[in-house]
Amino acid sequence: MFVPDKKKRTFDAIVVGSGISGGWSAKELCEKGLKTLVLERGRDVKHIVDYPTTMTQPWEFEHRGQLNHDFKKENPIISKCYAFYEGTTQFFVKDKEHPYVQEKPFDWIRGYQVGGKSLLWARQTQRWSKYDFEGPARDGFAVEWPVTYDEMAPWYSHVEKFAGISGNKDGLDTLPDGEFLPPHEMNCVEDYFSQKVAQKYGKDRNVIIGRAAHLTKPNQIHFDQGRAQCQNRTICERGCPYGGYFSSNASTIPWAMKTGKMTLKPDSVVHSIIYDDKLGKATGVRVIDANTKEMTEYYAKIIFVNAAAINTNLILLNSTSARFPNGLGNDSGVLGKYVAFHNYRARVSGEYEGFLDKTTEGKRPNSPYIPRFRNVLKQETDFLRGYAAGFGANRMSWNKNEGLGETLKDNLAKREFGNWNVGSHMMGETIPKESNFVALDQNLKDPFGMPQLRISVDYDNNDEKMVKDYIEQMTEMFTMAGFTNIRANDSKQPAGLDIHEMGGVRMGKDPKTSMLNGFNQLHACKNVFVTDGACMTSTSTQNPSLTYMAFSARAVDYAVKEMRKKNL
Amino acid sequence: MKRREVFSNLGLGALGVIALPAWANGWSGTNLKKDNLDLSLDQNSLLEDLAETIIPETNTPGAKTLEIAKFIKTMVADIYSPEDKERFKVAVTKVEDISKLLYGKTYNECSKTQKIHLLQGLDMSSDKDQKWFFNTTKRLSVQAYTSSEYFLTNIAKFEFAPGRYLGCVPVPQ
Repeated sequence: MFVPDKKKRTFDAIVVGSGISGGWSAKELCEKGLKTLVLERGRDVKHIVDYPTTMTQPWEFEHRGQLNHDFKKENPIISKCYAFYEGTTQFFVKDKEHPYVQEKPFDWIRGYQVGGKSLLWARQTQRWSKYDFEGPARDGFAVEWPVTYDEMAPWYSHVEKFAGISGNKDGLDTLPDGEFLPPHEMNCVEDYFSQKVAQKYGKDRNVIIGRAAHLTKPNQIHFDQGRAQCQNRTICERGCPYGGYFSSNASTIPWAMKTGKMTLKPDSVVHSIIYDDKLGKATGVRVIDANTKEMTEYYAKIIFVNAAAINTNLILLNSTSARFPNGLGNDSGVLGKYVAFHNYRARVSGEYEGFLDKTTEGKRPNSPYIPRFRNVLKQETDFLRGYAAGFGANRMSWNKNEGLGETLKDNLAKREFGNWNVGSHMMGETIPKESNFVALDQNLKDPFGMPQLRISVDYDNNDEKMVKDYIEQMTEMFTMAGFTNIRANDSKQPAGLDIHEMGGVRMGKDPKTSMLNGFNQLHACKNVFVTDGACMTSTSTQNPSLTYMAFSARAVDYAVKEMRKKNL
Repeated sequence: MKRREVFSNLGLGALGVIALPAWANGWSGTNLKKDNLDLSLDQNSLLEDLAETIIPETNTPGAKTLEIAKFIKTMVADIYSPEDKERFKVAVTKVEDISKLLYGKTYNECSKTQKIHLLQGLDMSSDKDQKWFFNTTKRLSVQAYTSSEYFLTNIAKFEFAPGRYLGCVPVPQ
């Protein structure tokens, strides 16, 4: 290998992954003037031009959204995902493209392309509170978080302003307010339920409008990104031509590109991080070309690993050296362990027979939210932690479809209205455990020549108790509000389908029991940072992406300061 | 024999509605040229007739204009299981046999009323496959119609990008 070529492959910083956290790492690094290489294992997806179905009308889908029978049979895992349909197959990994071993049932949902799953996410963006960060220390599980809410608050603000988060300032200390764009509107039944809950439970339980990454009223910073007001189409997962919701593709990636500092390399599967035993630090990454399968090395002073939680674990586990025979930075032996997720198993639904002269108009890419109310100030149940819940009401209506011929046609032209449907789903905190882990298979390889992952992640008794309590409490709240026909359902869906997998490279104060310090920096390899879901010490109940964004921006700020102090 | 029973059944219903029993399984259809569902030309035009009976052309577009039969075939061919695909094809063939038995002519040659009566008969049939075929064909016809550009644009007033959400408006009269 000759020197000029090596020089071309040398950067100030490398970011592995271009999803929601990688996009933020890239943007922040480029803005601070670092020549940054962004490696994405999937293909390029350019904003707007690579959203083939974004303008497709419902009648233009050959199967009206449904998936081909044989295709579903070949793809049992990805076919379970709620956002996977005829209009979005291009953005998800098919089952055979990246196989893994399920020691226990685990639905691993992946999006390999520039932008990753930020194109596909549910866009709910709630801050963590002090109760969430203080949870493990108070309740004696996992390890203590090495960062506090107060330290995170300015970084939440930083990312919220740029990403554009809609929400109402509710003044709850369980769910701190942020830098909000105008909130979405609750409908009459949601508003009624919110009031009934407030009457009955006081300040303990709250039904608020969700906080969502939608430009309800863009600011100049959003126009500067080339984004415009959300048009309430609610087909976000096809990619948005307005940039109405936050994605790497619409926001951070083009922003980073505009600095002239970013080199974006799609089709680049990171094999491992190169550790130099003599220098005592990482010097770069080994990359497999997804098409030719050729291996190339790239070099940089600092490396941000944002490959999405489980793939970040895979890369670190596969980064072995004389110094780190069990994976990069893995002196503690906790790498790949304490993987956790969110428990989305239970739903409670019902009907409301009021407001029958009212309905809704238009569409809303958001819904109300019930912040965690269990075990917040103190332990009060026989299970640890708690759950948040989504809530929503919609007026049932249909076209009457009785008869045949002209009668049927006449009937179909009439819209009939029924009761209001009300529904709720739980989002439970799961407790990270050593026995919930990912590990490399010793024999099986994936199509890129990488070891396959063995995934062994499951529910426990705490989760079962929480499902039961959620069903009881929500049923009580629905009953109290006068809802009827109340039904509860436990889907028993496997872990993974929540698409909130976290941990394996957890943060902590003590290098003996954690991988990363309070700035997402590997304790044992200071120039490597992990700011995606893998870093999570505990899961709390919030949708996690906003916290990954804040961690990314905060860690870049720290890393660049350390570089300038010559500490890296 | 059976033909006579059918006519006597037909006479019983005040509305002319008949419940077709399981005997219709005894007939088999013809196989000619294939399409994406491997339907013969005859089966194909029969399916078009059935769709037109369910969603007829009036002063607004019906099944032929909206290509509803094509949609039914695409859905059954691509979305349904191999077993259901076969079940559907067998049942299409039976319709022609039933028509000949009931009315002594092909479905296409039947009057509008006879065409509807035959479908109502399938709906009320004690034969599970016939009932399933009727339900499937009607459901897919309704889906094709209500998701057509014509229906969504002109009747449902579908808005691709509404740009608003109002949480409490009066129910439209």
